[in-house]
Amino acid sequence: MDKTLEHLNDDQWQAWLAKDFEDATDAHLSSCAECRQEGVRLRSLLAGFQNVVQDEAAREEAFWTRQRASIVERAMQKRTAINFAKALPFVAALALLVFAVELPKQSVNPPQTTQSNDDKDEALLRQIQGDAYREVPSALAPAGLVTEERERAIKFKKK
Amino acid sequence: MQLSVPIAAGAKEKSLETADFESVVREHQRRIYRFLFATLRDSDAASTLTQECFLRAFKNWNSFRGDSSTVTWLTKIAVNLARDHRRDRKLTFWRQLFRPESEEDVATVAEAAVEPRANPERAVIAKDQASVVWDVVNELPTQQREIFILRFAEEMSIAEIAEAMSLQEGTVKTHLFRALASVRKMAALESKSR
Repeated sequence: MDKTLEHLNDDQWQAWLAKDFEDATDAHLSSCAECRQEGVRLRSLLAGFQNVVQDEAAREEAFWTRQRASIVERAMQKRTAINFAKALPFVAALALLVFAVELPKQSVNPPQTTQSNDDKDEALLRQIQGDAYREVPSALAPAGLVTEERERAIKFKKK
Repeated sequence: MQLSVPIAAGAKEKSLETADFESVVREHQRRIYRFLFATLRDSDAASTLTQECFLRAFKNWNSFRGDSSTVTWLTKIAVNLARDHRRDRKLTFWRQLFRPESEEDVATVAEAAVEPRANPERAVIAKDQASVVWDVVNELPTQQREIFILRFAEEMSIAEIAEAMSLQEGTVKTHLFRALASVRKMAALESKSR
């Protein structure tokens, strides 16, 4: 920058405040009391802004501790939820697999309890039938004797 | 202000352990809260969004490539959260009705800045400066306001701001110069009025 310039222009001031300036700007500031005074005022203004923000945003250590604990706790809850969500498809797939394997077995071999009941029923039926067969001849014994007697009488007449 | 990178780029573990995460929060929570507070001027919102910022970071930790520093990445998340919040806040007009962003807020902030540890002279100057600068900053367009705060409250470099806001460095400078022009103009008017 030309030192002979009377004062810094707007762009140069902006650049200087943004700390993005050429050495020539500093050179001018060191030689120009008016600009130097303005520079101090502007820097002070920005420093004041920073101080106010920092002071106002300052909190007691307990605040930060509580906040940190809350963040970590929520993060861990989120992780658990994420892990569960990730595991869910595998659990579902496993359950499906077990179901798919077990289902054909059940259809080939009927349930044991039902089979057992059927056997009992079958045995009871056979017993009843057996009893009936055994009982019927003895019950009909007199009829048999009558039949035999009748046949014998017919033979005797023929003779 | 020196920016630290707690977990070096490229050396970052894919899975973030609780202790690591807690140390990241410990190191950056004040800074993120301060940025959000300066941007929103609402301590409750700043606190809530600070938590949200870290939770988002935690959730997306695996997608963080480590190209930028952790603080720049966190600032990027915070910038987006602040914008979302302001957008939401515009919709809730009643809230502005009962809590307008005006000189009242600035005065509150300025009053808070007057602490016992500061000497009376400094307190008065800080109060005046805060009133002027915060008024102007509050009226700036969103990007100018965010860039101004990141530059002068958080002392981030132009490159870091560009990274955090996904902008070109030239664009950041343009916004910053415009913001500074507004502050200077108001400061000049303020000094003339005295």
